Amino acid sequence: MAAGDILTAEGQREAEERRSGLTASNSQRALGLLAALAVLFLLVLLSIAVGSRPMPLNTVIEALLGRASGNDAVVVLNLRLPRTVSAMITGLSLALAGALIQALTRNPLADPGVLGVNAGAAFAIVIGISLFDLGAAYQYVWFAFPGAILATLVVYRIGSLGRAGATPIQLTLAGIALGAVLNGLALGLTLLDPDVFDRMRGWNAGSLAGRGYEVILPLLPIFALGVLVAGLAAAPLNAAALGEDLGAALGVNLAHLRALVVVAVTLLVGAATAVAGPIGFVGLMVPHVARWIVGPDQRWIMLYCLVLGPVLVVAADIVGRLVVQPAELPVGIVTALLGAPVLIVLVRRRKASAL
Amino acid sequence: MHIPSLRSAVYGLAAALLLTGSVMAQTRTIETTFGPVEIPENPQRIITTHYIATQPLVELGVLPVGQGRIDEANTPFWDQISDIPFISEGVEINVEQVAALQPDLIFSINLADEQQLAQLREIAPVIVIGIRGADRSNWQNRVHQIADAVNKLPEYEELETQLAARQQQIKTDYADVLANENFSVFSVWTPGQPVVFTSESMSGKILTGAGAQYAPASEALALPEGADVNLSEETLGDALVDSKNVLYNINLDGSDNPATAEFKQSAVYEAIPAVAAGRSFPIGKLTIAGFADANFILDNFEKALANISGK
Repeated sequence: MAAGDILTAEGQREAEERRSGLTASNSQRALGLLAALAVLFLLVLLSIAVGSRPMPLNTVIEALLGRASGNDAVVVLNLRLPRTVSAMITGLSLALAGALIQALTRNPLADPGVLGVNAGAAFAIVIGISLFDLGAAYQYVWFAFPGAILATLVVYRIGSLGRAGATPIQLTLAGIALGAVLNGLALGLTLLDPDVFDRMRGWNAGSLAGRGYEVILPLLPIFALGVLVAGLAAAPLNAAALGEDLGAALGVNLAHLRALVVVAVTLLVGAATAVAGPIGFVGLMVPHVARWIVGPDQRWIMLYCLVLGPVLVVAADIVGRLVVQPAELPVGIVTALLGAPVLIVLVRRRKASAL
Repeated sequence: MHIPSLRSAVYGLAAALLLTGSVMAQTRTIETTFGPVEIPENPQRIITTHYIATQPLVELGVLPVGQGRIDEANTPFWDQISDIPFISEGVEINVEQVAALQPDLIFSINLADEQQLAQLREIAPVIVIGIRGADRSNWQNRVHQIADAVNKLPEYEELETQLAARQQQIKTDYADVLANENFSVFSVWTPGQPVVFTSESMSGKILTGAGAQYAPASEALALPEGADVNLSEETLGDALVDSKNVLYNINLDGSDNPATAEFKQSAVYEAIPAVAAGRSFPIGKLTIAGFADANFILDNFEKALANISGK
């Protein structure tokens, strides 16, 4: 075989790999998804069974069945259960938002924070702590979420200026610029006041500790709406990935699609950040893994993100609860520690997970 | 009218300069937690980069010429210090502003940036106060070092004597209660991250001095690196399980700390046996800067004891 033939064969193999990912058919993708769901199910059980307070498995089961009382029941029902729910919802939201933003910007290194959502939430919380002495997790929610929404609205408005409208590159630049301004202001205010500095230090780490039902329940409709809007964007994103002209020829209204994606990302990341603070790497890494497994079809990528996002965050939260007992390591630190090496490996296999 | 001759005026000026110079040149070496420091015999222009040194100075009757930022809600001495310029907004120290105030002695902390400390030492002698690490719990030693540096040891001893007398009074007044009760102390600064304070902590030394016995479970948590033990919400219940009375932090103005207040609404808190029995009480600010904070703790402890004893 000639060298040119080998290169051609290699190129074809890579192109094929990009098209299909690790799985060659929809039935394989469905099987993979079921396997991921099984892993998630096991992790959820583990998340309820283990924690910084050692507890026998039968006690955990008794507590779940309503037969335990006292501290055992409280730890399982009031701490581990809501925390596991928070981890799952946060994980799926960040992963889904990451897939959307990467598809919209056609940039595999785009992070959900690129639209300024995290910066808006952080700035609003700094204002809340400085002016209203906030310090409780449920209080943070009601500043972080509106802050995230407002920041994205401003980014979208700035990114829409000009004849081209809200192009991905304009949105990205506007998001990065506004994010830098808001982060700078937040940092300035944080350094002005030791109390704000102390409280922001905890929030910035990204944590699920102390997030009870009172934090997660009010935001459930927001998460659900975000997932719904994201689902509506999946098929059009596939068409748009073929190029603007071809996408338009296939009936995709690009302006509407971009607005749809921005709304979904804002709802998902705004709510997730309001619950747990900024948790890095999930929105960046999980879509890569999903693309690596299923190829570039956004519908499959999103389905996988719905499962793999929770897998990563629940696993990271379990690790964080066990490594520094009797205290805990915030989940944001663990996702960064777990996520960075995985991302490096994935980036080295760039062609397999490229858009 | 008598006009002094030029010669006598020059002599007078020279004598004054010599006298001033000799006063300025007089120094002494004091021992601090972080080694000996040569300081002026009688420092006149003092700067504190953190409130942990400002409060002791004010209590000892000395006002600094520059101070680290503090808010009105967190100091009982606002009327006395509100006009003193802030040379640090919490983390960074404005070294230029420090230099402009021409201090002859600076108090800083062992959390300050080493490079900034080196810059401060170019301006004036710097006494570093230990608020992290092994010296964290020893609040009286911090105040003593400050008193020594500003020649206010008699004033320090008076405050110390008053505190000890008050502790003894509580011990005597509530001897029967103290003999049968035990206590645990916690706070929550960051949601989901409670901290338990053992008898070796800052507040622990004040409370045990007044006769408080600490419950065994929280005492067993004491770590070699410190008496303030970080826990999780899961493990807090076990740390307080055998405590007959649970004490929690409040701000110096009596207001609730928001994270602690949120935790007090939780099922975890309600499940703590002492809380369920109605035996949880506010105790005060758990980072002790000086005697005002210590006395605030005793005020609250006395209220708790009165409540327990039904007095």
